Amino acid sequence: MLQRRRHGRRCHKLAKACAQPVLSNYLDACASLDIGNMENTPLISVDLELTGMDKGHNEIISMGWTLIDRGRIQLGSNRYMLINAERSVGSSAVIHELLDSEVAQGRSLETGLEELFDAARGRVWVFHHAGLDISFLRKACESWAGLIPGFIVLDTMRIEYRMRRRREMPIRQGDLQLGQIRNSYGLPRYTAHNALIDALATAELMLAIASRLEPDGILELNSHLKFF
Amino acid sequence: MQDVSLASEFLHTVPPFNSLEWDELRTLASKLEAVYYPRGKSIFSSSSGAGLAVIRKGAVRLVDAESRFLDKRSEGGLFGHGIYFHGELKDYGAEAEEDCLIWHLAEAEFAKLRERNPLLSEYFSSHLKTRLSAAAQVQHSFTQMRDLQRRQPVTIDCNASIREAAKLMSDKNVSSVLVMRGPDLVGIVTDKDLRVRVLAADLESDTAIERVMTKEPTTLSADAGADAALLLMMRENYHHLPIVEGGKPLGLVTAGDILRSQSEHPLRLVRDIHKKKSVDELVVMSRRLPSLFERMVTLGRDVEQIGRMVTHITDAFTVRLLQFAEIEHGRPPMPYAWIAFGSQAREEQTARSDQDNGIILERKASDEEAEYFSKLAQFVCTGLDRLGYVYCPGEVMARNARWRVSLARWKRHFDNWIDEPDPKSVMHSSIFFDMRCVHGEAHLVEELLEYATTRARENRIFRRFMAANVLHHRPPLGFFRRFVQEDDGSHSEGLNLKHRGIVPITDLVRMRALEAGITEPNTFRRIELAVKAGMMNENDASSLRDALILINRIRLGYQAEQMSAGQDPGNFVPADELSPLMRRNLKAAFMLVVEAQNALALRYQVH
Repeated sequence: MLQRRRHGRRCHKLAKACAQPVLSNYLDACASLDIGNMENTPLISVDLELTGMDKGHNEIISMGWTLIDRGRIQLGSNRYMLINAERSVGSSAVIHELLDSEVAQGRSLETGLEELFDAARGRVWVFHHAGLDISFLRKACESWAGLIPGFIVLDTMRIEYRMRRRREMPIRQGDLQLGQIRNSYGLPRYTAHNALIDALATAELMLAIASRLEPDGILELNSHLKFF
Repeated sequence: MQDVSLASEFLHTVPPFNSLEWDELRTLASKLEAVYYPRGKSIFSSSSGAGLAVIRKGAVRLVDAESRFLDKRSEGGLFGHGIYFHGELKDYGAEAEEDCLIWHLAEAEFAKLRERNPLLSEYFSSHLKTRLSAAAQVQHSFTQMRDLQRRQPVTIDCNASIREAAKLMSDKNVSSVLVMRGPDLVGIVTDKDLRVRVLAADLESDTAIERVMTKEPTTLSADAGADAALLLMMRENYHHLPIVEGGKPLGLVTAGDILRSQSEHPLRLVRDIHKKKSVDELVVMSRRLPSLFERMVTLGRDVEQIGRMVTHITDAFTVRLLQFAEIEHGRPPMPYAWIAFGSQAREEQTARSDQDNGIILERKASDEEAEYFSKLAQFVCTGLDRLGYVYCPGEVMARNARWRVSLARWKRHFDNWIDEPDPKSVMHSSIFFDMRCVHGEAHLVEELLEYATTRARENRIFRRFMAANVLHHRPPLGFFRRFVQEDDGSHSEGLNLKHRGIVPITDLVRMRALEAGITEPNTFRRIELAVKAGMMNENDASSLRDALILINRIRLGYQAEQMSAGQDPGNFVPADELSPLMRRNLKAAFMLVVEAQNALALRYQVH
């Protein structure tokens, strides 16, 4: 709870200092976010596609997200956008099947972030392996708005990891990959990958994990949050 | 990639959504909510107001109020809407049989979707219709008094004399009259009252009718059900009861009226057939078939069931005729089997069918025995013709000596077709592979079928001819406004739904059945068995099944329409009578058939 309060105060302060209205509103909402259980807490599941793992050199080339309200994924809220990269896509193009020319048709990182943080206002973020994506978002915000915003996050990888540890299940290499975990919950296999598919896949996994952690009721979220 | 294309792409593989335009699919997808249910979790306990649910992954058990199993649905399956379980529409609950990802569409959005799309509305409306009739069945035992009442009530003022009442009754040829005071029903007078209370009591004929009537008669409300009415009449020993709505008499109903309405059930009809004592009586009964058929279609019974029921009735008529024939000509001199071919064998008859039948004798008949079976066959074929099952134009009937032979001779018939196939004989013989025992020694039919199927299966050249024959009937390519587009680029003004739609599918499936050594004649069961035998994959199976249901639904609907307009039902539909919706459905079905035909052509290298 202490962590939550400190995080709230920081967001509140940042909101006042922030010159970007959308981000400022997001921070305001983040500061006073009422977090309860899966059904009464709105979530946003996000995935970013990157040109690489290094936030110093690599960039965001696309973003995908979907909203979860009342514990239900709102398929109509699915959003996918390409981001104009400043450097060449390079070797990861093979993975993402995105060519430079396609990337160039995307929107600027700033307008992309604007839309993302507008959608994320009043919501808890859901990522699979949050650290990487958050580090890129923080860096992007720093150059866009001159500050590093706070994030309240449910990380499906981390929650699953802690649950398996607690239940003393063996964890082998690769077990915590999105596709692997989804398999164990009987979720459909997606052959294609892009930011939206992965965001949706993460959202579905979040629902599945919640139902396993709390088979007969509704999962309380507070003990599973991570604050950035 | 579009934002909701992920969802719409999956929906695109799910009937009936696969026939929606992409724009509509996207709109639908955007309204969906995805929910995860771990195994064993309840999805809903009552289907009322549950909207529509699409199984994205996993499997779902549908259960009744006592948690008894009703049905199982798997990936791509739908539930939440009104579902007919074994002939009954029930409220049901749903629970996850495996871990499930379910896409929910809220009830209000589901209603809007149906409103926007006549196709979907039709797809789900067969359920809605059954929902209506099933609801009526629960509350009003299906037939309400309002529906029964056809005759205007005969009424008389309470101040009229007995003589006037008697005269009115004899003029109108009725056995009872309702007595009114102003707009109110105050009594009823029957023939029996006139006998007992007037003549036997020596009453003057100018006495007011009021004095002899039964006061405040028992009445039936217009929405009372047939069961309730029958019970009341039996208990109180009434023969007539007035039907009232809002205090006003609508008319009279007799026990006979109610019983007749109940006898419209096809299975009831089958029972009645066996009670009839003469061909003439059967002929009278057969006149009820058109209205029965019409009702089955408009009540939205599924086409497989209709085919089965109509065939059931044909079988019953045939068996009854054979019994009559055996009474008239004596016991058969040897065991035999009466067999049906074609649509009767497949249990896929519709409004009106030709007769296709034959006889298998246990052994070669002596002249005397042959004479007996000739008479028997003549009797039955003539009888069937009188009942509306007209003579087969190709003379494939038991009255034709060629199709009234011993089992050994039947085998030689098949040998000839199979060993020396030519296009004509193959086309001719394909009808004989759809064979079913209607009466007599079923083992004769089984042995013949087993023999024929095995021989056909082993002979690749024959099968190749069969394959070529299957490709003989091709569905049309598509539609113009007033024309049907043909293969050779020409146009026709209409479409023979049987030859261009049904026959290609039954031919294809028969081919598969032969390849798999399946002797079952019914197309739906052949498909099922072919899948089990590994001869057909689930996807092709459901495509053919769907196409058959779709084309047949349009065909039966059209035939029912023709019949209600007093025309003879046929298979030829003028192009301009096909609604855009039907065209779209037919086009989709034809595409599935053509795909399957092409696959067959490739496998046998024929075209």
